[in-house]
Amino acid sequence: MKYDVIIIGAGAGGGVAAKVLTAAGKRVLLIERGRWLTFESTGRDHLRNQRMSLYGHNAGPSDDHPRVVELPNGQERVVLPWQEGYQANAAAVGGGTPVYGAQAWRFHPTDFKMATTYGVPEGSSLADWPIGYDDLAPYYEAVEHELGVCGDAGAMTHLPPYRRDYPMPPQPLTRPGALHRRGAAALGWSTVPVPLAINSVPYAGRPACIRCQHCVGFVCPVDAKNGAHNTFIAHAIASGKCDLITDAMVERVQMRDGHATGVSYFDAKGRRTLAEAEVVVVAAGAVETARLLLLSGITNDNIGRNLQGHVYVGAVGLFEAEVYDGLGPGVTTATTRWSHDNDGVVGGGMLADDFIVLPAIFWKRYLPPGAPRWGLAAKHWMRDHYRRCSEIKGPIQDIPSPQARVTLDPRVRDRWGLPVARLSGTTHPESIRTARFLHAKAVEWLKASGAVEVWGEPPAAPYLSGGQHQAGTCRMGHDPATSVVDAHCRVHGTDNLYIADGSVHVTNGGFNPFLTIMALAYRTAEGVTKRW
Amino acid sequence: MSLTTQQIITLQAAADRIIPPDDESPGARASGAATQLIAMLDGDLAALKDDYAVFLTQLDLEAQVAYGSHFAELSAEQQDVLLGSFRASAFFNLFVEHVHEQFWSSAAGMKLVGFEVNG
Ligand SMILES: Cc1cc2nc3c(=O)[nH]c(=O)nc-3n(C[C@H](O)[C@H](O)[C@H](O)COP(=O)(O)OP(=O)(O)OC[C@H]3O[C@@H](n4cnc5c(N)ncnc54)[C@H](O)[C@@H]3O)c2cc1C
Repeated sequence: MKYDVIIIGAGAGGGVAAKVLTAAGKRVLLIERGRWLTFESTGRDHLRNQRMSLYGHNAGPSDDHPRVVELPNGQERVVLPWQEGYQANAAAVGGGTPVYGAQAWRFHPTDFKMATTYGVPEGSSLADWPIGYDDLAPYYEAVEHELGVCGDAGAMTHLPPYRRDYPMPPQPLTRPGALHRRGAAALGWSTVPVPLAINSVPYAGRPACIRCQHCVGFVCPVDAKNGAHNTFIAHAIASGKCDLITDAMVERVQMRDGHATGVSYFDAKGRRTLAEAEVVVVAAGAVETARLLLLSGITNDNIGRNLQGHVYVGAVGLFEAEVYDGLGPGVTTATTRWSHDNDGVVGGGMLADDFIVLPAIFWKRYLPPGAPRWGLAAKHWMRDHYRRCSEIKGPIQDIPSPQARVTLDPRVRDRWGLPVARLSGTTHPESIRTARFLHAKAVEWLKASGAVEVWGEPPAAPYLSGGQHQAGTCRMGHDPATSVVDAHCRVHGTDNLYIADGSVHVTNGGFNPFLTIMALAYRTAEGVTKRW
Repeated sequence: MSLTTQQIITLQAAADRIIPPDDESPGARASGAATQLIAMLDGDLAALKDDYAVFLTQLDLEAQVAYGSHFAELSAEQQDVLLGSFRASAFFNLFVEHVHEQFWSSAAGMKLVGFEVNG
């Protein structure tokens, strides 16, 4: 049978597209290489999860999906999905969203106009989006309500006024959050409650968050975290118009003269299968979407370039008294004061307090230089400091480089015989200047909040950022010479091939990206329903 | 190849100096962290098993040279002196990390820092 639309990847973007298309009456085939996750199947292993994957992770992909990483010194390494350098997000029904932290930020209006605002640093591919904040605003709003986001629109004074407030009030403040609000106020910085796709009150038939300590990196024990899987995809399936196939690896988009006729995929048993459709939407995440386009024989030198995520900065503050209160998810308070208009740097970023930090992660990532590493002194250091520390961190607006790139590896193949993604390059060095700037603000904030000691350094050198916030590899634009998709996210030179995931982001905003990915996928899918 | 009984005894003793027991809480041995680490040598850390065997044998030999008995039979102070002599060894520092990983993800480690699981 022939579908109206085939969507590759049931993640944040693909899930939204499935809902919008089925609601418009389209017959949709949604193909996902991962599976449905459950609380039981993903567990709470502190060393093997999507927040810290020392020996494995809990939301995929499996080791059937290696990649090759090219190091700055020219050496290369084959890496498994939980190993350093892989740039993993997740592979599951819902993509990263069943285990994400659910920070649901709209991008800043200036995030869409980076080149016009700051000029283009030498060697970077900084560019404006072909659309602006106003084009996305109605879709941000639709996603906030259909997904379920808690927050306070009135506090988002860095954005044009919202038409509708968030459907749920913000989560109550935590002890560290209250300290940081006072600290910011003392500095004259405004703060906002962090918008979260988590139920602060019961919403759409699912319960309120129980404030547990295992949010980011884990599946919610009571299904109070809203992702693509339990909202958009659930609705698409309930419509009776969406067939979801899991454990199925798409091999390529079948193309004929600039026209997509369908896709070929390997099902759970490894059988190669063809499916046909009027329209194909690729939503496999920024790295795999670029790989799929290349595997499908689409020729455009921009495919795979400008891979970006977020260079993160953070600092840890030690407080005189205990600040830990065990109330999850933990992130409550942010400032957008330093998102833009900062002297001498390109862009800026958002800063916020953090999710509850698991003790093993605290040991690995939060120790100051010079802390005792073993013996009773180390054990007691942990005992005496864990509950007295709080981190301020945030993503900077990455300055993209065309050299940060996904290509097909000439040698290594996956178990289906397909060339794996090869990753090379780094973010543009300008990103590091912005990171240093924002890091200094994190330190300033912690001190104002009462920290007696602050540690943590900004990144010293550019690195390849992608990972959970991966984006940019098939950027939007009017000109096929400098972009991969047009302003409707249709691949240049094709009439029916669209992209609906983070890969179309021209720049990735100084905020966590998923809400923008969903809003844009909503707009793209709506465009498909109008045209087809 | 499996670790020998002596190597396992040495590992348990050494881990218990990386995170020693005290009045308040168990160390790496009684918390199960060391046992967990030993299990990992047949799992995620299997690639390091031979290095572990070499390190543990060497540690025990040094104990015999310096004090005339097995590492596990020395006093805590003597054990610390011997472990301290490995401070610059990359493998020793890896071992230290492995012990911490297991301890801070164990019930005893979580309890010690006051990380309570509610819900
Ligand atoms: C622990 C964690 C915390 C996070 N916290 C936040 C946060 O607080 N806020 C935020 O904004 N973002 C957060 N993110 C990131 C967020 O989840 C991603 O931005 C988002 O999921 C990306 O959406 P996407 O549609 O681009 O791709 P994805 O959601 O990755 O979806 C792509 C899907 O395509 C599938 N796929 C790929 N290739 C194939 C193929 N060949 N055949 C079939 N299927 C394929 C993949 O398995 C995947 O499920 C977090 C992510 C993680 C893992």
